[in-house]
Amino acid sequence: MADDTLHDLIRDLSRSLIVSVAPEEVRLFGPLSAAYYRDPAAATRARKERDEVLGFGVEAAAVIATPIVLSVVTDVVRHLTQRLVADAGEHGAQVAERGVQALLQRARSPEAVPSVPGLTEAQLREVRERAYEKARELRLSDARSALLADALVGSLSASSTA
Amino acid sequence: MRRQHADAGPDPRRPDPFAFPSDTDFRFGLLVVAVLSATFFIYDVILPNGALVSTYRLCLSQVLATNGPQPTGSLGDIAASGSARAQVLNSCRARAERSRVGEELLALIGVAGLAGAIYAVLPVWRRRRGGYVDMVPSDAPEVVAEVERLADTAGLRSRPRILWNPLNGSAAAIVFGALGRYQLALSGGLVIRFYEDPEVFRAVLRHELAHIRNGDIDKTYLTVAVWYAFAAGALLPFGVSMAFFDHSFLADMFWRIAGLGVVVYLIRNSVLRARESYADVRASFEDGPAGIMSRIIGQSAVVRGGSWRRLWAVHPSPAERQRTITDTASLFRLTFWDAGAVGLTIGLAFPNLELTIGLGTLGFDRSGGVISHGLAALLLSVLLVGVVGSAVWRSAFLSLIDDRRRPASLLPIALGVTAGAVLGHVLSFSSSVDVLGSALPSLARIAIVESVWAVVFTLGTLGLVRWIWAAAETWLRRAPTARSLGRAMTAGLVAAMVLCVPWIGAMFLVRDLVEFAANGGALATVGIAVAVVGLGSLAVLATPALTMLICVSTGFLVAARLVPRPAVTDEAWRYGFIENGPGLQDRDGTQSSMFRRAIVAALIGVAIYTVVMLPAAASWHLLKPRAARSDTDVITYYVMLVALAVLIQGYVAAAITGGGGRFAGLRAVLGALIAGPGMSAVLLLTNLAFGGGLDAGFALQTVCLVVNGGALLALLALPLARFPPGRRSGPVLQAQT
Repeated sequence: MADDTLHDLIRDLSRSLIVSVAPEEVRLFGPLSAAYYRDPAAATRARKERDEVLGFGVEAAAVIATPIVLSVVTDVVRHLTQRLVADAGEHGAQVAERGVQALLQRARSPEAVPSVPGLTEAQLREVRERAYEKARELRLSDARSALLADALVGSLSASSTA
Repeated sequence: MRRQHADAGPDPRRPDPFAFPSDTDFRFGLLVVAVLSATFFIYDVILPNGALVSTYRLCLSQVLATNGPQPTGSLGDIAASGSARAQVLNSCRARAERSRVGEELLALIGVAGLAGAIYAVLPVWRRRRGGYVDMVPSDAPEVVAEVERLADTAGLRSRPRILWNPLNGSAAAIVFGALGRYQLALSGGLVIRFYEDPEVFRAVLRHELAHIRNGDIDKTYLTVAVWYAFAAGALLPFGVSMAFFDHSFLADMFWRIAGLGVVVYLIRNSVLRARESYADVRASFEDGPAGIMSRIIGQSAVVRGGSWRRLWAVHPSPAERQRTITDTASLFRLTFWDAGAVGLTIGLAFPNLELTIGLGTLGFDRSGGVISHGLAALLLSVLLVGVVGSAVWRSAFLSLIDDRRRPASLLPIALGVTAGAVLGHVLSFSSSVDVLGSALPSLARIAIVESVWAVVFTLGTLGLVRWIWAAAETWLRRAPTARSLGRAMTAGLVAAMVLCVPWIGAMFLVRDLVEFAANGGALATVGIAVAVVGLGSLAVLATPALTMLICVSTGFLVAARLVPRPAVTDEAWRYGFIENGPGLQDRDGTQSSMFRRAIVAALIGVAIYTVVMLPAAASWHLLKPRAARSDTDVITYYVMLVALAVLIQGYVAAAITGGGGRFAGLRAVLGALIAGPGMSAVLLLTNLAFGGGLDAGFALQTVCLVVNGGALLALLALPLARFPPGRRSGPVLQAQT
């Protein structure tokens, strides 16, 4: 149940990030995220261009941002959870998970969860750095990686300061 | 009298390659025949032959023990003795040979079955490898609706199943499937492009749907399957044999089989590349030559590595594709390389086919090899005429609507077919086995045999191709509708096949004789070859079959003149263009006097023959009484009368033809066909008048000799005559004004 909720929250946050990182993919977010969850590894696998029989296309392969955003957000959430667990001590896992869920819910809808402890400056910097590196690792362009990292930090900090 | 015309330019509309039957089926046939021949060769090399060798040893001892007529020194005795021994040998080895052919046929069936299995599995493999899943309407409702609309616009009988791989970022699509169940797979990147740049999306889709509309999918994936089956079912076993078995001659075979593998692969790729250009052109129907299709091809991936690398690619280069969309004329021509692929398959397959059929029917076929020779020639004629003939018809249409497109010469086609045939024969099974041995070193022997054969083959091919051109140019002017074009082209290609079968048969017969002659040394080879070709020509002169062929070749061309000239209508020849526009009219009236000139010249020739021959015949009959004539005298007299008739026909042909000009060959043969029977009648009636008899067989032989001799003499210079016969003042078929 908790996993499903987290999963939904990650999806929702990713959808909101896609609006600024790759607006052309917004309409296809549903099937693209479904494909990502079917095989997350495939989303980030490099493809070799082939001279396919009866195939036809224009220009070299572009990068589809949706699976990368989902992958980055998932990674950041996992990382945040681990950090909060380490900080919380006994019963920390449940507390940390609830904390992250609350953060994500606030990012989705600030009015719904008004009082959640926010992330520190250092934590937000760490989130930005991690998101940027992960996005670059997944071959998102430098500009879009930076945009994604900033947008993610913006979402989380907005939820922290609300 | 020649009409005067305004010198109007060619039609600006693009010629429509789909107006003419596609040669893809025949190209695919070429690939299949090349693969089967190569497979036959490979299995003949690698299958164990211990049983066959034992049988030969046994048969040889039986032949030596034969109590047939012992040769006493006379030619008749030697022939009878040889024939009896050959019969014993053939009866003895027939079963073993048939069994061997059976094993090889089983291997061929195995490779064919493997190709079928690969073809059936390819769509599944393609779908899995591409990571494609079904696209349901809820995924992207606008995209699904647009694909369905484009499929309906493309005129497909049924819509393809839509698949996609959402995570593939390339903006590409692909079609695949089997037996009419086609699947259109889109990449996620292309679907995203639909929302950003729908024109690009539509152009890519139109190209893919054009593949379905053109019927490319089954042919393409069968082509791919045939190649994989050949690699796995023939090349791989050969490689295994090389590695594990002690076949001392396998190493000698390696270069031939490697060459065969390369040849088959190149033919495969040429089939695949040809389909792309046709799909591009169909996809450009909607927005024209300068539309989106041409633009996005410029953005498509380029195969790097120069022309050598492109030879291995399955798509033409973007520049080539753009040129084809702008100017579809390249789809109306046959290149040297295309012709070479045809010749190569023929050179490769003929000896293998003949051998297989010959060994398979050993003990049953009493025709002395005529059946195996003829069947091999028939099968390969279908392919040759299918590819070369249909291309010549398209090229002839192009030259009728635009005189600047007329090829400077048909020689490159003839040279291409010849070069391919020579190379194919060198790679073939029969070249690898030197049964008779030779006084010449192997390479020198090959060089001499191939050179002599190449000269004969080139001249023969040039004559055949020119006939097809003349037939196409003549009948296209009587075919103003798509329906009449279909009928005329079918009849023309069938007539070309009728001519092609004896031609291919004769070419390989000449080759066998030249090879046989090559055992005597370099000079003897050329001398014997010339003698053999000369004597062979004389022998066939008296055959009614040759007369029939001459009648078919001439009659088909003459028949077009009996069809009334098409009426001037808005629809005339519009089938030949992609863009809409006015109908065409035939503005050339130069052939109205052709019959009259031929008939008049032929009658003059008959009169000259009568005037020269009658006094000579009267003198001979008076000076040489019947009782004093020997057989040699009678034969000499008869040959002289026939030769005189043939020479005068040659003169008639030259008079009709003048300095060349259009349809020079047709006019020459037509003159001979009219003059020949007239002169034969004069000869036979003169013989009757001086007390001779009139036997039906003798009369038929005389007519055949005179007609065939005259027609061949008239045609002799045709391959060397000028082509084209001169520039016209503009296109023959021109837009109505």
